[in-house]
Amino acid sequence: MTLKLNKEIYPVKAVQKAVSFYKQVANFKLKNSQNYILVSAAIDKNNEELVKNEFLNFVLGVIRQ
Amino acid sequence: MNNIKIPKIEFNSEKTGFCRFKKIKDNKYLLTNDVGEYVILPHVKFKKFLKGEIKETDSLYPILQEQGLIRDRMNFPALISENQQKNLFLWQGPSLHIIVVTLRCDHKCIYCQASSQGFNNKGYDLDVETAKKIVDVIFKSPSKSIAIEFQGGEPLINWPVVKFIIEYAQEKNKTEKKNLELRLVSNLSLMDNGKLNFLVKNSVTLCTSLDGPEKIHNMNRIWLEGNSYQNAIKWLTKARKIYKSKLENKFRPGAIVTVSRFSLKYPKEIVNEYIKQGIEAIFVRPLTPLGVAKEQWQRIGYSAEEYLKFYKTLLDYVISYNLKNPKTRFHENFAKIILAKILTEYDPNYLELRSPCGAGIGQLLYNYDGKVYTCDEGRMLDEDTFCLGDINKISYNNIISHPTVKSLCLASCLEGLACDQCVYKPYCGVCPIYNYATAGNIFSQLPTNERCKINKGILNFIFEKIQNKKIKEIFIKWSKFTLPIK
Amino acid sequence: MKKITFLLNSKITSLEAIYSTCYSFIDKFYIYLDKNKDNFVVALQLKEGEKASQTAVEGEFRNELLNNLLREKIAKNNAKLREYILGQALYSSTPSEIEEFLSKTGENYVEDPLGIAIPWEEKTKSKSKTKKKAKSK
Repeated sequence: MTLKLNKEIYPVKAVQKAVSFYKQVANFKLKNSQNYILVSAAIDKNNEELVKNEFLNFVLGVIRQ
Repeated sequence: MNNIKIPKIEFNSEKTGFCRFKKIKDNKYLLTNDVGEYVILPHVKFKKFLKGEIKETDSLYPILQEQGLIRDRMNFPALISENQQKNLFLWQGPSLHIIVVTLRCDHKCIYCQASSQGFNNKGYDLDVETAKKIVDVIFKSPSKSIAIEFQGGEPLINWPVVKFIIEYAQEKNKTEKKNLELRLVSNLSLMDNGKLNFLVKNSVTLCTSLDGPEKIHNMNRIWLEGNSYQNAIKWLTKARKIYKSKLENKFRPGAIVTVSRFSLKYPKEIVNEYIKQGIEAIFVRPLTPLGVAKEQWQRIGYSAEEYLKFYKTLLDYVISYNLKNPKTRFHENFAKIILAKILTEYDPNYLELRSPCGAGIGQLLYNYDGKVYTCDEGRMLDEDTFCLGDINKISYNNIISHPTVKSLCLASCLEGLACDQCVYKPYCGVCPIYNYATAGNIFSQLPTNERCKINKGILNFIFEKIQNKKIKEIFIKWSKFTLPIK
Repeated sequence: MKKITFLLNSKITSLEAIYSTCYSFIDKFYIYLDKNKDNFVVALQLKEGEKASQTAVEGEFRNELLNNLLREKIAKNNAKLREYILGQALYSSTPSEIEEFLSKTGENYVEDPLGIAIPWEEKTKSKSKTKKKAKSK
């Protein structure tokens, strides 16, 4: 699973917090590119879509806090 | 891909004071201010308000001005005083102190959140020495009012320690001179005349569970030694007579309802039971998925929508009872607490509906083994995450300055959460432990939070009803049943 | 409707308002945000079991975004006034240290058991008198 998160919209700290919380689900890796944070994790294909979507919402929740 | 057009917002920065707002039914807007005053405006008036076009001759103007919504006509001394009054609880210190005198119980309630132990199990009783230390710490609280509440398990199982604490606390209070309140929460299975007379003599408020008519009560509250409902009614009736004659009804014994899945079909029957027993108020709260309730949730739990359907039917029924019987004092307690926040200048200091919540700063729980927890919910988890220490090793200062207490304050301070934008923020509260129990995080994702949905649903309903003149009069009457903090 | 994507002009709207709006939709939708040169890109995907039409969703999102933009303006415009009012309210509620001390010592502060109110000159005069007496003996 790979996600591209625009740095202007998704603050790095919020993404890091979300990754820390989701470590129970999978081993997430973060990579910095020019405009994006690349979030990747090895997830079972059956659950990939669900984990990706829930993670995105979770990050929004962390930003909002 | 559509490009959504965003029109210009017409807004007068000189005239428009601070408010939270929400569009409600019939194209109206509900506005609230920081101290919980509200006004409901038709759409057209709301737009005029935003543009600063409400004239001084308009009947709305004095209401808006009084609430601080007309920015260039604010009465600062009045607004400061109102804010002060509403936040008085911040300076009090813990006022509610729950002592779990035993974890043993003789009931097997299907929703037990305390994870009670069997009657004959050993090692679950509070001893006198630890009880003494607990009371000593309780009196360190700077709060002028202290309420000591006995809980369990079933507190009457450890009657000698209950008796000791009552006597010791009253002795200590001769010098401490606090406004001391003693409360006992009991299923009444072990009540007898001797205990009842002692409780009356020492002005101990009694509270029991009454989940509704016999069938519903006994379905929820299983007592293998007898009929839980009949026993509870017998002693509640007796207690109410004695308290009325000896204490002039000052410490009226009461009851609370715990709503399980089996209760959902019977809102009116539950209300009728309370009216039949002459109990002045019914306190309806949703089940929290803690303890046994969490394990059994599939069987006994329900969604926010299901609970709201039940609650609205129940509240409607209580309102219609009040309309038909104008002299009655019968009311629903949770609604009363919210109405006190909406309709009076006081805050009833209900620990679940305040910012920050009461964990550690409004209440503390002292467990049978000497462990101190932030609150009742804190001890119901099957872990010590919210344990602040051991009463034998920890001081009062250590307890209230514990990092866990600070974390819970942060997580329940509505001003720092998405709640700050909500129109219902002045009336609401967050339980970080509920969030932790349901989502593994003391900070919640609010739109998916069932407690948030329930509170919003109830507030939507109350504000719908409050627009009816006759119902508003009933609500005003109820709101005055709550005493202010002094 | 499974997935819907739309653009919001970044010069007219604010990111804070978009966050608030998206947050209120996360119970029914999965949300992904991005940005190109002039616009924010909002992608909403319905969760399983939920139903909605594209027009309705766009309309609701737009209305909620407008509300949040307005909330932002009102809050920003009144921030200093609210800080003043709440600050004054909390400050004047703080128990005064002097009042607390007096309430604990009770009325005997008037008796002055520690002699705090006695002027230094008086204290030193009486001390030097005591010394002279002792010397003369």
